[in-house]
Amino acid sequence: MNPVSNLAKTLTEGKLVLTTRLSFPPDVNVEDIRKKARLFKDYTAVIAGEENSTDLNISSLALAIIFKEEGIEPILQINSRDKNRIAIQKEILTAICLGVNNIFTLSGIHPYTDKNLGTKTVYDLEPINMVAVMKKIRDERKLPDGKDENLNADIFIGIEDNPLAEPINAMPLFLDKKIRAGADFILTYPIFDIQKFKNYVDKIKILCSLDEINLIATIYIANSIEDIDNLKKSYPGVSIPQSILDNIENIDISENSGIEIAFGISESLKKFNCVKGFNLLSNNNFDSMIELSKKILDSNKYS
Amino acid sequence: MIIASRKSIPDIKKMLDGYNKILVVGCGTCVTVCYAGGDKEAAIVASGLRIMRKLEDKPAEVEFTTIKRQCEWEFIEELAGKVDNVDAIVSMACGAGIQALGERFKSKPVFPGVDTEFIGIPQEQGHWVEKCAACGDCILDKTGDICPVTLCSKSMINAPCGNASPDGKCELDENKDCAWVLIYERMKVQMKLEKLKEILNSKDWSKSKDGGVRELVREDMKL
Repeated sequence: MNPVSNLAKTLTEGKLVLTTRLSFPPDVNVEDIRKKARLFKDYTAVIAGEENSTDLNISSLALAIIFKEEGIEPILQINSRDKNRIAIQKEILTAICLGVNNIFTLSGIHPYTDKNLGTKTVYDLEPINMVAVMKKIRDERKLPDGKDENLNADIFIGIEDNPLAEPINAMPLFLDKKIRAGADFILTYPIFDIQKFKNYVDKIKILCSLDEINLIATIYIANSIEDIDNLKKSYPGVSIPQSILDNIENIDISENSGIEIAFGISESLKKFNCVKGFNLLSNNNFDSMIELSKKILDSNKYS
Repeated sequence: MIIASRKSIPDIKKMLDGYNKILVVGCGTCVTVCYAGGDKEAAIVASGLRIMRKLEDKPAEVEFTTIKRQCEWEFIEELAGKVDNVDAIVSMACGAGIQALGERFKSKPVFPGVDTEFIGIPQEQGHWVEKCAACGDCILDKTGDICPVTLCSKSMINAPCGNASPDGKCELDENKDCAWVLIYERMKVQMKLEKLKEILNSKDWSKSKDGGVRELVREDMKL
């Protein structure tokens, strides 16, 4: 089967993947979206992000279409929190119809974590179940209710994973489950703790072959403790060792030490066979991201 | 059991404007055990209503009584003689009991004296925890007798969301345990971690509230 997207092709060819995630508030100017998206034109793909918390963003699918218009390959994000299986299936099929073939799923932050909206939560299909639905649509060309639609559904299926979450000793088992359910790629939470990650990979080896895992490790550039606080709003379960926090606290921003710390992490992570690429994030520090991606690509060229 | 909490007396009083002969009915089962709507609470509500109405110069006759279960007709029947002379009933039972009284005594308005909260158990004195979402499709055999549908705030049935704190608490509430940390620990103790590898199919919510009003018919139990 031909790869259904540039992301799929890059992973199949064993080349380094670079992604980022962009999301925008509802009052954003569309030209501003285009301008920011163009900064990442050379990346393998860009996640059309929606809100992880409850501060509303414009929709992932709308953003994905704008990215496509700019010649950037999008990754659609579907959150199990806000949509039931009817809405999810519609979203998947609409995305494919519009040529958005990378789709990744996540559970999202619970809507009552930061405020009381009085809302009814959904949580109909959890991410692993969503992956299974996408696999069925893609491989059997039919919807989960068995209705044969003869669907044209080339999907490259992704799922979010926090390798260093609690219960940490069970996380390799859950990763294996996500892959067996049908995930083609795994997008991790930001990784800071290399030792813990190594322990995690050691446990994965027992369950499955590292080469067959397409793990895209998220690297977060933090130039201050404020950046870390901002990160925790979207990734409350992120694990950061005290030594890294101490380093970040002592950063002199003019020296771009945040980039150096992030680059150090990426250099360490790329030694693991399962890490096939990096998803670069920052607290809206786009110049740093571009610089970091250049350093990663340069280093990759000579390694 | 069903856990409820008593509504405040001023809130109950508001519902009863214009009614002067009131019967407060306690329930002797779940709501007695969780101190929300038993005989003692029915007495407190009746007494509070009497005092408040008197202070407003609108005295009301408020009596109270308690039956064993407001969700079963045979016990409800005991109220038959007592409701004739009242013009409103306050039920201290769960939502099922309140509606059962309404169905039996159609000409009398029945007002709720409690808020029905959840199906749960006491964690310690004065602290109750939800344990069952009554989803109609129990998977406790696969999750170490700990229900992820109820105890995971996102009802994740296959894996944790990844946002538990280092001490294993839920992202939603630092005082609540992550269901998946509990499930993992329980399965480990029982040496059944292998069982967690099974990928559970998406839940069939038709058996829960989402499938519409639920009824259970047992032909073998019919008379």
